[in-house]
Amino acid sequence: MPRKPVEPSTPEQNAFVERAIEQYGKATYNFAYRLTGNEADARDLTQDAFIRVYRAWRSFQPGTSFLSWIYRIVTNLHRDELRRRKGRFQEEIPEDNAPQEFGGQKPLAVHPIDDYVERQLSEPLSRALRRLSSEQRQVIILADIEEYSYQEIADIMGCSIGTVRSRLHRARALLRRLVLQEQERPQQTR
Amino acid sequence: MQHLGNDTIIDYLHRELAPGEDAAVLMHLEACADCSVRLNLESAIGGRLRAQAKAEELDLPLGMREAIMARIAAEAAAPTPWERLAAWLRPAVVVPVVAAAALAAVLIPMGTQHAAAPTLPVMYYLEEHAAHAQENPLADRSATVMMTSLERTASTETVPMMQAVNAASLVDSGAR
Repeated sequence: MPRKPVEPSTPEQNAFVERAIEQYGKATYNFAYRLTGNEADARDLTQDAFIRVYRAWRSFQPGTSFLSWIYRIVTNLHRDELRRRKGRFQEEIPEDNAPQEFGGQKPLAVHPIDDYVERQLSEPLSRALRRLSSEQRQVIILADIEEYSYQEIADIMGCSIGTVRSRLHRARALLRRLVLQEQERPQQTR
Repeated sequence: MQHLGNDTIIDYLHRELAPGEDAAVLMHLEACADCSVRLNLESAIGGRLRAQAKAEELDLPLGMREAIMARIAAEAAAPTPWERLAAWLRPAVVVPVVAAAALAAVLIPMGTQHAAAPTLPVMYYLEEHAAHAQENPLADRSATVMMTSLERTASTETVPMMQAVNAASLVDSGAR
């Protein structure tokens, strides 16, 4: 991969990246985790994103949202990765939170936090989120979890507001249908 | 009463409607229980998504910051494309390469000149043939063959070549 900076790294540049990791590393990692659905890919995506920040640090405009900027970097990197893997992102790498088999037996010790996260992931909304397309999941995360405006989402995703709107409408329709199905299930069994 | 579309409810929930439309939707919701129920459902989905995201929130993995800074240090230490080019252009490399190229530029044309097949004029062959025909007039079958092949290539040969052929045929006929 060709490298952009021609000038050597400066202490100022390193300090910029270190401060960015300190302030926004966790948010970036969680955003990457929600996009990819597994910790291994989220780690790679977060690292690559901060390397991009290091390379392009001069293009960041002070006064604008750093988080929006790095979310845009993460979104683009994730899209590139999906294209590279030809849409086999989930199939190639098992999810970290998927139940692991050890010779047909469950692991002897289950960490209570892992158990809690697993239970959370088994929620219908988590399942529904994973059934969305990558773009639909991105727009749900940005609109409903990060609570960005349509314009900000369009800037992050590099598309029009109309596209954001239609993706959000379709994604919400699917989520609504799945949630209603879950709500109806206990009533049918009664 | 016409109910609100789901898309309108979603845009209203995300505060993405124009002010006039937003006010109209608000008024409708106050009067319409069905649409209020649908709004509450959409709002609940958003709330659950946020609550779940909060519950699943992960800390930055240990060593992540160090790993990023190590990659940055490695990248900073590695030569840039310009540095690689400059290194390649240093005198120790450039002088021998330029000298080799200059030598090749001189030697290659000379070599090709030596290697080229000697070019003999057509007349040489014709005169040789005429002399042979004079010595062995009865054994000359090749005169006809040669003329035929020369006529076949006449379209691509020069005019002097045809003249030479005619001269040769005259010599042949004279020999007979």
